[in-house]
Amino acid sequence: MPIQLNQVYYTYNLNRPDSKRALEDISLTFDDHCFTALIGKTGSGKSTLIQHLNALLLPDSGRVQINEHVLDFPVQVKKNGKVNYRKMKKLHKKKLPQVKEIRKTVGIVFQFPEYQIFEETVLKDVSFGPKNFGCTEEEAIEKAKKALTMVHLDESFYERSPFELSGGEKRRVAIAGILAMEPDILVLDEPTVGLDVRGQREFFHLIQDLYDQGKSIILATHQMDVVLRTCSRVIVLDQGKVVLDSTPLKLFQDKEFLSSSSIEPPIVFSFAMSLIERGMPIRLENIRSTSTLAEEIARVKGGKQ
Amino acid sequence: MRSKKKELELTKRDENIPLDSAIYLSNLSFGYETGKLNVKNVSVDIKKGERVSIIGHNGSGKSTLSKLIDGILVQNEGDIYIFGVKMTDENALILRKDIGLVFQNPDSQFIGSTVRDDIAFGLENNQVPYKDMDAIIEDCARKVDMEEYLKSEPSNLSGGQKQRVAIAGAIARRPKILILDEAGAMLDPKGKKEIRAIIKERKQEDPDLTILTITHEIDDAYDSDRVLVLNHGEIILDDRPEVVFENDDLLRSIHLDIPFSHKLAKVLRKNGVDVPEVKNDEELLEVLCPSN
Repeated sequence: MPIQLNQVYYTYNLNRPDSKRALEDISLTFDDHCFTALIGKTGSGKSTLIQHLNALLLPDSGRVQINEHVLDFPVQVKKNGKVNYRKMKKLHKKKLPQVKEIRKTVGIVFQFPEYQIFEETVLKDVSFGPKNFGCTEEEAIEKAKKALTMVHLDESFYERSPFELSGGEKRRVAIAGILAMEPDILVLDEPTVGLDVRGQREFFHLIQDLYDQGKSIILATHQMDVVLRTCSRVIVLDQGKVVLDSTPLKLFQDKEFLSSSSIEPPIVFSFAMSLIERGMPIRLENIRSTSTLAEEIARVKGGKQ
Repeated sequence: MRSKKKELELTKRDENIPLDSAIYLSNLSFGYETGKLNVKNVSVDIKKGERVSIIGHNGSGKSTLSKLIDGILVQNEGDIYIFGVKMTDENALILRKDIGLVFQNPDSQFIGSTVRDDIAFGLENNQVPYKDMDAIIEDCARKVDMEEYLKSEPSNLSGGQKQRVAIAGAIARRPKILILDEAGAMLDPKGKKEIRAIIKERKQEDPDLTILTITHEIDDAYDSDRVLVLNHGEIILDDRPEVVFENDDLLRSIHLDIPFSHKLAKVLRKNGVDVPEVKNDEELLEVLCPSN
């Protein structure tokens, strides 16, 4: 089990009048080589949860385990009988030699990752991460080149300025920057927002590729068609709690849950459901995209003729 | 301040432009670098009260075109006429009073510290008397269904709500033309729906309002009277949405999506299932599996 969260609580601005609870009693396990979707409305706690996966945020209470590295709070720092959380966290952050290891294991691609590009050339930008983790210049460049190959950017891009690339290319550079640190687990927060249809399609091929190469993928997204097409597990967050942990197939059939959580199934799926309601014997479990739906309909229609 | 006479002089109509024209582009060209044109020889006549969508993929030139119409960029060649008046350096500010703009990023266009302040900003700029402001602000907030949030700060609003405030700010100035430049692109599906519903409602209440939507999402183009497809800076299709969507091969070749029913019908035919042309999902459902 590479990632395990155990009763994780997190509150922004803890013990202050403007405090806001973001995560409540989260217990989750992410297995090796998983392809998991994380869905929920804006403000449901997705981003907060993601930041716990590589120690950008530390839980107020509970335990996060990433491989053998444990993040929890054994030390109780008390002042006038009350736990001084802020001091505790400060203390704790200093005592966390495992943070570096964790960040090597889990790579996070945030929304609009291209905003984090800053170097003059593509190669320099991508090799920044490994250099930061103590690689020599040559090693870093080696890793950068490998990462750029993984995102399908060839040698002609190495010396170009990342700022003159197209939106989709920039985003691939930013992801290469994460891949260069060779994480086993890739966490992506709304990675295709703002890309056009082609950019999105290319991007999801890329993620599928990375999964096939052995990476674990955790994907926060609003795009249900992507969830249906690629993910084997789906976790729904609402107001900081896990309200569903299931498969896309089960989620999209659960009409009651969908309407209460205002999630809309992908159009392919709802269309298939309408066909079934009208009596067409198609098998929902085979449907993941427009082309698989067409194949199912052809199978049924073909049988009749 | 400019004298009324001078202002009249600056906003004289060109006799050659049709009377019912809202935005008239004539042979418009623009390039960021010399030798490369991002907008190529675009000529379009958008009529008063028309609801038009410009669709194109990232890099097709649609944002550049919208910046030219907004007056943020100045064309290398060609002319822009707003209600028949040729846009020049001198009158651009006067003409832009008729244009309301809503941009992509909900955060970068929220200027005020509260919703009320934000809507007031545009009014102050247009020198609306203070005594009239409250009524206008409340009316506009109601139109975008945000009247309960007038005292709210932007940090307490969702992306969709912020964009609705941006729309309120734009319509508060009573523009005759409303331009939405990828206004839903950064929102979740719910936010996008909210924006679409608000725009539809606006149009129903004010049929004379000319609306120009710039988008790469096909769903935004569905409700339009007319769709312009842009590729490599040129308009390659200009027709009613249902006619434009017929050209699915062309649309796909320039990396635009087509509506689901068109796509499924096409793949079905490839799989040997005989399906006639359909307009929407309901029709396709009826064709495949007639209800009793």
